[in-house]
Amino acid sequence: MLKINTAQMIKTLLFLLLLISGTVYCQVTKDTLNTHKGELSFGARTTGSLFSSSGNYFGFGAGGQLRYRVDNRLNTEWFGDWMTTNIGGLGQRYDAHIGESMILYIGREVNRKNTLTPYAMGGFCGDYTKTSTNLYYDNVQKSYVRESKDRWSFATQLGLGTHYNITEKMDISFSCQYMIHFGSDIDSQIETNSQGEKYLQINKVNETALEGHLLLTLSANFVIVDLIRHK
Amino acid sequence: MKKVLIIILFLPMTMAAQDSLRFIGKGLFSGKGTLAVGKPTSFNATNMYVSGNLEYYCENNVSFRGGLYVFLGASRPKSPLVLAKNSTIFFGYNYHFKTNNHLDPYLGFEPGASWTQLKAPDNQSTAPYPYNISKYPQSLSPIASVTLGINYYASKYTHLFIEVTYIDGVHVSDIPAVSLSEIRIAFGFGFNIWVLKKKGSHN
Repeated sequence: MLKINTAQMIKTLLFLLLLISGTVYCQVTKDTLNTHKGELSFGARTTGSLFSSSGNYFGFGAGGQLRYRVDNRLNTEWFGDWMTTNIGGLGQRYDAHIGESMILYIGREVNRKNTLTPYAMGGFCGDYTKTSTNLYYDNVQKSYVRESKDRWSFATQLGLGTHYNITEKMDISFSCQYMIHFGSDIDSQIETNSQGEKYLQINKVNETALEGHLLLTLSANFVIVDLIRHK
Repeated sequence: MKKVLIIILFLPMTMAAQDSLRFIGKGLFSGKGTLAVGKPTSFNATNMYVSGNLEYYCENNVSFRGGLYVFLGASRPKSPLVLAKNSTIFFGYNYHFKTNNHLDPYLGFEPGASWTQLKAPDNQSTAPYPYNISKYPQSLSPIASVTLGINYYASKYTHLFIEVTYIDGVHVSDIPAVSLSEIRIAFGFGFNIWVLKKKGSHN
């Protein structure tokens, strides 16, 4: 019959407890060391816009962004963009965006060197839009005129993207978002005047309307500081 | 023959580099100032610039760079598409490919903005439509650029470089838009200092 030595058992249990606590402690330390929480990065970005109410013309822009990593799997992106769109050679549209997006990482691994880190993103932004025509002959004024209309609006956006980490701290990111604007409606269409010349007609309706467009963003980002230094 | 000359030119750089201390890495701060030439891809002209930039190596193979191209003029003033203004400011990151010598090849991504304006014809009344009615307004045009270049850091304080930049953007005004896509070439020398102390100091 097996005799149980109480003192020996307590010693063994204490030893196991010590080992377990050590293991648990090590896991926590490892998790803490591997996290990207607290990282602040700065990025330069270029943005393309498609399918707006001004027509299916490609808009092109540049800007910058700051990212603050709230958690290992949650990032925030604070961005500013300035874009111009050539509307069929007859006018142009300017868009300025200042906003924020939340980034949720959907893969198992995040920000590993030479790997893709896919994510879903969504947020909101403030927007200024100005649409202008080129000079065109106005049938009523009997002269060449130019017209501009602008508006401020709010927008919300949702999309998918991915980082590609060139180094541990630097990534190239590409994202595709659909952005819906809430504000007065500005649209434009191509018309022909009495001289047979095509021109752009801009319409602004002061009632609130929805306008959506697709945003493609390419950016290069670098972690400039870790605000929660992990030791 | 050209290939042989290029090899002869580059060989001493590589050989000299193997025995000496490398200057390329985190903490290096460098600046360049030179003349640059631009060739628009959508119309026939040659643009000229004074260019300069400042660059900080935040990692051994990543640097942050900001710079300026000040437009001096274009060589084809009779073309209606010649630009009167096309100065550019840009910022972004360069990725530096690892080498074991003083050569520092890099690839950069730099968005920015150009202050642009088309040049009005000398005699606007005789110019074809719509160049005869335009007021030639100035515009702030967003641009994006990709740069491929190489530095040669053989000295503690100076380096040589050559780079090719492709710029894309569009100038909009009161007449049809004009593409700003252009290939710019710049080369010359720059200055560099260490702003971080490093083991095996460079002093």
